[in-house]
Amino acid sequence: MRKNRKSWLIRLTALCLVMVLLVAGGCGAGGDESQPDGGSSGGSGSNEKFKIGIVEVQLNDESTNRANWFNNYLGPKYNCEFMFSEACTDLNSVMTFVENAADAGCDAIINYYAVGANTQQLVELCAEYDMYYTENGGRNSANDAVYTGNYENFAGNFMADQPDTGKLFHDYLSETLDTSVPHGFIVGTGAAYQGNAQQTEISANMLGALEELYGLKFDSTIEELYTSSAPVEGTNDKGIEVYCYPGAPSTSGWLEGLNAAMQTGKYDYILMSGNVLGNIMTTVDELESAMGKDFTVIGFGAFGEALTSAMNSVDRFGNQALSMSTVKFTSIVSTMGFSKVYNCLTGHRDACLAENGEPSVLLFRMNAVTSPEQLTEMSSWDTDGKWVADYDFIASLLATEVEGLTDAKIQETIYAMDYDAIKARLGN
Amino acid sequence: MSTSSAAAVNEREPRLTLTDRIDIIKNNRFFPLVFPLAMLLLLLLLFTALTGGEFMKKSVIMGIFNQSFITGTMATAVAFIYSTGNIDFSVGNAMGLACVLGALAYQSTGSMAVMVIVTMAGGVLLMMFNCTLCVTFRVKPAMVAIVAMSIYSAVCVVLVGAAPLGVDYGISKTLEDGFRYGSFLVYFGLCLLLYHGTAIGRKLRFIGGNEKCAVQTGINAVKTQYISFLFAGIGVGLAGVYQTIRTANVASTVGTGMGTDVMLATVLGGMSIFGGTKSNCYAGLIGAITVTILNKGLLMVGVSSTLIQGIRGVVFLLLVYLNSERQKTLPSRQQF
Repeated sequence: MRKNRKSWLIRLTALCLVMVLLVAGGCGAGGDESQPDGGSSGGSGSNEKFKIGIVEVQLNDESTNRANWFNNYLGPKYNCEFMFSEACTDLNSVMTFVENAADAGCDAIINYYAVGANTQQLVELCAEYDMYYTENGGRNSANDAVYTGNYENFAGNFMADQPDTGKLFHDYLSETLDTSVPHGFIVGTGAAYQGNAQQTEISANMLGALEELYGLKFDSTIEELYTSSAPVEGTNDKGIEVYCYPGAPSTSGWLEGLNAAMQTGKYDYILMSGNVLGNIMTTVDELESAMGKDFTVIGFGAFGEALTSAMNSVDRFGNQALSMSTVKFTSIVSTMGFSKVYNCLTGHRDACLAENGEPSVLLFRMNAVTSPEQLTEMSSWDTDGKWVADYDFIASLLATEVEGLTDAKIQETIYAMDYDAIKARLGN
Repeated sequence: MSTSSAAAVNEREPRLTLTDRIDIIKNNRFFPLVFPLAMLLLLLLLFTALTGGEFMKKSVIMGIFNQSFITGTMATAVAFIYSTGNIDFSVGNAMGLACVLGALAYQSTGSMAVMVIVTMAGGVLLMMFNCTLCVTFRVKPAMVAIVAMSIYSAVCVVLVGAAPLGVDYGISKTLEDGFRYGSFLVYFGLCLLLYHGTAIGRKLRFIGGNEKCAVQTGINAVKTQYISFLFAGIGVGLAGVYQTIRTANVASTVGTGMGTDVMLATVLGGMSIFGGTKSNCYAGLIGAITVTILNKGLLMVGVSSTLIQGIRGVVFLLLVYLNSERQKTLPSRQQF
């Protein structure tokens, strides 16, 4: 009997501990999302409180930084509350979050899980719940109808200037690649075969750069190479080894396949269009040791541990482990999404429309990083207390703050935020 | 009877500890039905109170049903498989491939009726393929599931290609009302009838409880398991149709990870994934609704999404613990 009592006491204690943890966690979470009275609406043009749902596609350094900026910097100033989704992996999960956000009282949705074919469904779903909608994606044939369809709740989209991003890789290869020495290239085409705009542009520009630099002609078109869902040799008239390798680390066997391709010894340049640095750098290092071969890695990146580690590591040949990457400032991208829906919510949807009256796509330019020093400098810019998108920048994109603000003016302001301008703004 | 003899009788009566009393309640035949329903009702009342009645709004209730439909249908379907003691967590990928086949058929013909038929047929054929590997070729169900997941997922990627396959958005919205509710009621009613009102359900449970014993009583285990996969296939196909008409397009990743959601819903609904005599075919639906209520309710009261994942895990463990039968003898299939 005593043993039983003891056993139940242990179970009860365990249950109480779980409950305490949950309550403590719940209070912490609530605290993060609450709006301090002192900061509410100070300096903003609208006193109305808005609640905005944000669809996340993955939970990583970038999404954490974004949540921090929205909740603790932007929210108090503009009297807005934000609700973040779990990592959404398909349209069904996005729709579920949008429905739940509507029931929780959200006025608008900013979607970071952008697939062109899904835009119309999501815009119409948001319309059912009287919510404004914008997504981190571009305009393409799959969602063109949304731009021309007079959807009053559609605020347009925002995205990276993908041709410009691709050009960063193109230019870097043009400047650094020694074509007098034979090289072999693995081009990680990522999800370009699924229509991912960023990975399409980067892959196309990398392959284009190889064509130009070697003066070669692929047997297939460049488009056929990067839209292939299976690995494909980029055979060409100059005999340069090019291997287009699609997929992502989440795909079963992806890393093993890359490893096998590298072990053939035919390739020494690893060009990655997706953010996979955290997944491949260990493999690269191991193969450099095992094969005694120097691999040059160039790839899309994002501020965080993976990029910092890759850029600051020196391989066994004394070279920088990662030669070049690209980065974006989360707070600038977030401001673009926020300005889209906030302008609509405050009755200034016209500031979201292009000159032809259709919803616009706002573009931002990414930055190339080629040295650890440059990365250290830039990664310290967009953090808590030192946001690149400060209150002045945010205000410059909001029609409640700038009289007669137009979409063209907003775009001009965003493009003006280049490396030198940011450095000057932050007083460096 | 004297006082001393009465005391002697009392001493001979077994003394029940608190654990024994709880075990008696847990072993009551109605417990697996009442407990999950009570939990569901409790959550509903809790969130209604916390949201000041907002949770009982028509749009919220309809949202709960809409979001539970696909997982609920799949969980009802796999109850037929789980009852026999087989575990198949490739059902999500099977549903995904059925959706892809249906969407391709729609794009070829422009007919939603053809899409529905092909998706249903795809679901049935894929599950029969799994069954053949498990039952005829005697490959362990878990191994079949792992291999089938990879194969179905790869075929989806190859067939879908660059962009999701679209179907008519307007017709999809129309089908979401009458067709979806009607077909689900028919399917669910049929499952209830077959599972709880005919010999088929009894045979399935018997095989799940003890296959050797079931065979010795004259039950054809192979035939019965084929029947279980057939009904599962119909449910998988139907869930595929619901998935397609909800999103009006089919991506290569559709259905990925859904096998785990279905398993979670089944267990939350009060059924053992190891089958046996206490199996039922409505547990999955109750579980799917419970998960949806939990997710929606927590979001509505302002809990962050990251915390919801943790809370969901804790509630899941708690319910499994309370709903499990923890025997003091050797492990059996009746344990969770």
